Order: sequence, then C-alpha cells, then structure tokens
Amino acid sequence: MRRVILYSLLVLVFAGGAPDNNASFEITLPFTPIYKMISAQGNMLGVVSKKINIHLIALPSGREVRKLDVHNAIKGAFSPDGKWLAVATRDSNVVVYSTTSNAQKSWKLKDYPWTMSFLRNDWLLINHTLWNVNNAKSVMTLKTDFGEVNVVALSPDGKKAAAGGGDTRVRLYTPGSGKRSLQEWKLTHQYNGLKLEVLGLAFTPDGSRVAAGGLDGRITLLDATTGKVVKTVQTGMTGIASIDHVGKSPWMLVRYINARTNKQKACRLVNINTGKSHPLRVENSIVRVTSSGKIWAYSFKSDTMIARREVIPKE
Amino acid sequence: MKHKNNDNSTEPVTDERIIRPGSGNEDSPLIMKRRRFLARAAELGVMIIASPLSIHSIARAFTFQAHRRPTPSNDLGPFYKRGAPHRKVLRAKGDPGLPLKISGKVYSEKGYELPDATLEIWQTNAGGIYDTLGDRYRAQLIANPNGKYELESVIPGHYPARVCQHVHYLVRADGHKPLVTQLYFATDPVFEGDPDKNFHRDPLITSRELVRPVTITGEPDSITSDVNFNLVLEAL
Repeated sequence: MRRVILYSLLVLVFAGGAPDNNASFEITLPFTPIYKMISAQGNMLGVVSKKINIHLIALPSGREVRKLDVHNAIKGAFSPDGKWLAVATRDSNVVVYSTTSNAQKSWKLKDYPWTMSFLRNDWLLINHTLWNVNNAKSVMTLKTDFGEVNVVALSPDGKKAAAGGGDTRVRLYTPGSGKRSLQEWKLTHQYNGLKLEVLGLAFTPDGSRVAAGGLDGRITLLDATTGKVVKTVQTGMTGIASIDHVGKSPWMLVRYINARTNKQKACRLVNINTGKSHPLRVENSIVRVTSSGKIWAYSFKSDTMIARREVIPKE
Repeated sequence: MKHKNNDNSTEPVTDERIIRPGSGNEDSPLIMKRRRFLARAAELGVMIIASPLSIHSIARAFTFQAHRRPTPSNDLGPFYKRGAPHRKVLRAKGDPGLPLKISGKVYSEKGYELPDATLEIWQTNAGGIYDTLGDRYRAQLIANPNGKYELESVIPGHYPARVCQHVHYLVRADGHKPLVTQLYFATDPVFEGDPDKNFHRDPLITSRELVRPVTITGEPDSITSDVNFNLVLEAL
C-alpha cells in the first residue's frame, strides 16, 4: 500500500510526461539530496537523502525505481549502462544493486575501499582488483609500486587497456580474449615519465594513443603500441581530474578539480591533435559524455530541482 | 691438573677436554670427531674462522626485540608527487602555522630498526592548500643508521575536502612492502578532545593508531608542537 502511495506521489511530482531521452529536462525531487551520482549514459540518478537512504531514479522520467537502505556507505559508482550501482562501505563491504530489479550481490574486501569505479558494465575496479559483478568474484589484480590504481581505460575495440595509479606510472596492457580475458592481461609497456599521480586516462577513438593527465594540468599523449610519448599538451589549466574522449572526434573532455576543495571547478574540450582547447560553461554541474559523444550537463537549480541540458561546444 | 686462563680466572680443565685422538676417552664421539676435524683443518690451514652472518646481524641475534604490528595503511590521496627534495625542514621562514616537529623510527615487524629507509612526506600548508606545481611542504628523508627520522614543518590546515588535518607518508625499505599511510593529530578540533571516541568522524581514519598525541611546549610567542610517529613496515 505504501508503495502505491509513494508511486502516486511521484507521478504527481513528476507530472508532465516522460521527457525524451535526447532532450533537456527538469525534474523535482521529493527530498533534498545530500549527495548525487549520475551514470555515464545519463539514464540513472542516485541520490543520498538525509535519512541516509540511496534513492535510484530513472532519467529522464524521474521515476524512483529503488530505495536502498545502506549504512556507512563511503563510495558509490554506477556501471556505464546504469544497470548496476556499486556501493562500498567503511567496513569494507561491497554491495552491487541492480537498478532494474531487486537483485543484488555482495562481498567482503580485505582492504578499505580507497578507490572504486566501473571499467565496463560488468567489471568493477576497487583499489587494485577487478571484480566481475555478475558472480562477485575477483578476476584480476593490477600492479602498482605503491598506492591504488586510480583509473583504467579500455580502447574502443577492447584490445588495449591502460592503467594509471598513485605511483605515477602509466601501464599499458593487452587484454586477452575469451572467457579468461581478464586473467590474460599482458603488461606490454610502462611509462615512468610523469611526476604526479595519474588521475585521467582515455584512448583516442582509433585506439592508437592514450591521453594521461594529472594535477599539473598537462596531458601526455602516449603511443598505445610502443608506450612512447607522442606529445605533451598544455591545457591552460591545472588540476586534471579525468579525461574522456568525445565520440569519434579528436576532442577530449577534461574535467578539472580545485586542488583546495577537491571539487570539480571547470571543464574544457581539448583537441588532442592540435592542442586547442575551449572552456565549457558548466559551472556547478555534473558533466557526462555519452558513448555517442553527446555532452550533458546536470545542474541543481535549487535544493530539489535537477536540470539537464546538452552542451554544444563552440568551435 | 689446572690451567690458568688468560682472564686470570682459574678453571678446572680435565684431560677429557684436551683432544687426544684415539685416546678412547671420548664420552661424546660426535663432538670429539668434530673437534678432531677442526684441529686437523686448522693444522692444514684450510679453514678460516668466519661467519656468513654480518657483525650487525650477530649483534641483532643477541638483542631481544619485541615484535611490532605493521603500521595501518591509509589512503595515498591524489596529491602524491614523485621526486620531492631531500630536506628535513619543510617550513620556510615566516610561514604561518604552528611549528611542528615530527620524529620517530622506522622498524621491521620483528622490531629491528630499519636504517636507510626512505620516507616521502607531503601535506598542505597551514591554509589547507597542497602545492601541486612546486614542492612546498613536500620532502624526502632517509632514516639514520638507527632508523630514526625527524622533520620540521607546521600543523597542516584543514583541507576542505577532508575532515581532519593530516600528513601523508610513503615509506620504503629493502625487503619490505611500501607503506602508504597518514598521520593525524589528537589535538585536531574535529575530535573535540576525545580522539578515542571521535576518530571515526573522518571516514578515512581507519585506525585510531594513526591519531598521534601532540606535545605543545614553549612560551606563547615561541610555541611549538611535537609528535612522535613510529612506522613499522611489513616484510615482503
């Protein structure tokens, strides 16, 4: 009965019809979120309410699909397709919730979950270990000299992988194929030329190069086959936090963080071939690049209203 | 029969202690055979008295060392930078902040001091800002032959994205796993004077052990703070 009432309320709150998947929209949440997460494809929103529940809300409809009672959560990450939400707790438990059903899987970690992100829809990276969320089994451990693996990128064809960690190294791998693909990753090259931690990594659309960036604001472009430096691009800012390629274009979306607050402060589009860069006007927004190369900015206009708009860069 | 020893003490020495090959006076055939072998080898000049162990390791073997628990690891954070300058003094003249002296020793799990351990240390300045372009408040130190290290800095500011004041450590020594950890201060206002109860207020403090007591000394115009932080590395 409670569910019926809740859904009725939500229907009223989100009245106005389901927005188009490719359109801008505004929705109003029935509570004030204290933390927000948005999936890479922009189809799922996770918000933590003051009651420390996580509400999973489908976008752009705004329909609440699941409410999770999670205690001591310290990390959360959506799978790229938005079908899974992984939550790590301070007592080193991991729970992966389906956003489309009541399914969930959980397991215990040996270490505190310092870093967590999805590499693929079914591969979850926690500290050094890649986990298969379908069977909750660890399938591969990536090496660093010390510290965690901060970021792992796969080439568009899945035939190359790059990992960057706290030890400032960029390691290039050739993933295997078949069922044992994860275990068969072969380290092909290691680049030691960076001084700061690697926080952003992205392959170019053709998979021939890897862009690596850290807090000094420089992008180092490596040849994905030889591991050698092709060029260094100054982006005109400091504090690179992440890099994403934008569709099949030579542009990379670079997010910067404020070293003082550790919060995202700006985004720029950087042409990896020419080194030109353009600022994106996305202040106070969460920015996502879809697999087709569309850039969405999600901003909170008030405590409860979230708006999405497409960002079209000006050449 | 008595023999006088060089140290002027007297000790009864029976004939049984003198090697007499074939005397039939061997109450321990194994020992006597070994003694005979040693004597022969010495006569022939084919043996030198040497130990495969170094003087240092022999000294260690005779010194009782309490085993120590490895220092809990902690987050590396995103601000590590390779190649920090070798120095003991991180604060510059006129830098704001309460002067801080950190000292301690680097140990192995077996309780031995680890000489020549390398410590990389980085923190924010008193205003809570990391230097990502330069090397302010970043240093590398080498522990002395007794495993001791010390440095002079300031109490770091509250970095806004974190709850507590902290200093980052990366410690490495041959034969041991690199230790990534952080030092926290019991005087941090976040703990409201009770770090035992309140250390969980920073979700990244996974062990109370990392919150260290702070000793404040000196006159009001020259006040300083001292912290002792020993580090124990896990063997490879």
